Amino acid sequence: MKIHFERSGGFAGMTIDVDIDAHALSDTEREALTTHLSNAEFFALPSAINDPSTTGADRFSYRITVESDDRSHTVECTDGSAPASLKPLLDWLNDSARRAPRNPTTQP
Amino acid sequence: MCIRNPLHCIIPPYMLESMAERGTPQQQDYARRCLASSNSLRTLRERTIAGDGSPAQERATAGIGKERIVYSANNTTNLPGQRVRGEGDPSTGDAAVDEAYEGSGSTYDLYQQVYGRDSIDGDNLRLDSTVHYDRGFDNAFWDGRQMVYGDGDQDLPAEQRLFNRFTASLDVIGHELTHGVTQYTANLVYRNQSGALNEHFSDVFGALVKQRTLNQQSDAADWLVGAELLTDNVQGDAIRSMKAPGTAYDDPVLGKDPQPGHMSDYVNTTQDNGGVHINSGIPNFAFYRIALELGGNAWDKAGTIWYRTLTAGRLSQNAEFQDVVNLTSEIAGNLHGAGSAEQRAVNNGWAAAGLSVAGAPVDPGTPEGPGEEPPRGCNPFARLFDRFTS
Repeated sequence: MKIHFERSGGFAGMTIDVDIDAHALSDTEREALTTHLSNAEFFALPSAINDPSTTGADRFSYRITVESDDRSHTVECTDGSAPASLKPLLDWLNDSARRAPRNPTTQP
Repeated sequence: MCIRNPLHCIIPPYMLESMAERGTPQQQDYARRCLASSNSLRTLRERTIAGDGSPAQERATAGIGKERIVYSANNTTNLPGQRVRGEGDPSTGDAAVDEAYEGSGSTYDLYQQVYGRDSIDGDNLRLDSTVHYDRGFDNAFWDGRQMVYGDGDQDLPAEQRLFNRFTASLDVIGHELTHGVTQYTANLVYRNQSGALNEHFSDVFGALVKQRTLNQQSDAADWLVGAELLTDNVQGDAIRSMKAPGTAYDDPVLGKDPQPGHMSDYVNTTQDNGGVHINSGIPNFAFYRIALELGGNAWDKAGTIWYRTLTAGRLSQNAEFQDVVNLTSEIAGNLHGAGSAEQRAVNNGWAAAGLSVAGAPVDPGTPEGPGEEPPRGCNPFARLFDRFTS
């Protein structure tokens, strides 16, 4: 299983991203990731999660792509529109992206 | 005044707020009605004391209208969190709390004392801020109702930290609060050019709050946005530069500031809601050039033109750069005369960013008065209702 995670926007408008290969993770990390994906029912989530009641500005925007066996799914949301069930996965991915060496360009 | 409420509410407002969120359905209903009642009474009291058309300074001197509450999320994502400082309370010693309190006060003062606007909604909406939001949260945002600030990279080892706490820059606080002002006025859609304009107005008034607080004229200001946010580990001065977009940082880890300062470098992207934090560099640079040409305090002439542009009810929610170019030039002409030095400065500033004024010649005979904002409803219940029901 492979995951591509991208966070853009926020006050600073800087994009960070990370690629994760589940096979390269420790058993503990892989188990945590699998649990977060399962609890979020990731493959059943809509590809774009927009909550019209979510207003405001400077929120982070997220794009998560998970490739697993023969299926692939991408979900886009913000930290205002993400359902509670997705938050643990977002936190886990955010943490990974913040600690990973960052892409030395923010130019889209 | 259009609310009469017979409720007698003896519970302090902060307890009512807690009850309104976490009480039984009956308690929530009671608390909400009490809060709404006290809010309408406060508005009535202010209007009675201040009278219609009283000078802005009179209200400010009387200490009426500015009401701030700072909460702490205690490193969770619960909003608004625990109340830690209210209006008139002494400093807490917690830098984030006190910066949020002082910064929202400085922003209120700019809008009230310079532009005659009473808070975010023009009707003394209380200014709520939450600090210590989440853990390792490199951001500040406006959630539609309040300001929220993270502590930056405090969870990382010192040598890996890139961001300080987001209250550290006064202009960030002015920026977030201005998102509220925009929401209540032009309500610019947060995507593509209208979104970049939304960001631009926030950067402008954030910079003006900082310059006014520091008593800096336009040629003495640094025109940096978020100059205190980056740690010493980062090769950069700030998050953005209005004076020289694209030069705020150039760092091996964070990359290079991607902001353009000229229309020919406009960035088309799907990230960041269509680059709202990127393309704002173009109008930001124009504003800097205009303020510099006008000289003196940027919040006076340039700030007034921009405030009127945002609040005149003339911009559509999907306004593009060209709409703001035309309207700022028109308003400068109305305020200072067609062909005046001020209008020429506005046109010159936009030209430096690759944009030119289009349309008919301005009409010098229709100065805009103070009553140009879109009409507001008289129901103070409405926003509390929104607050508790959204």
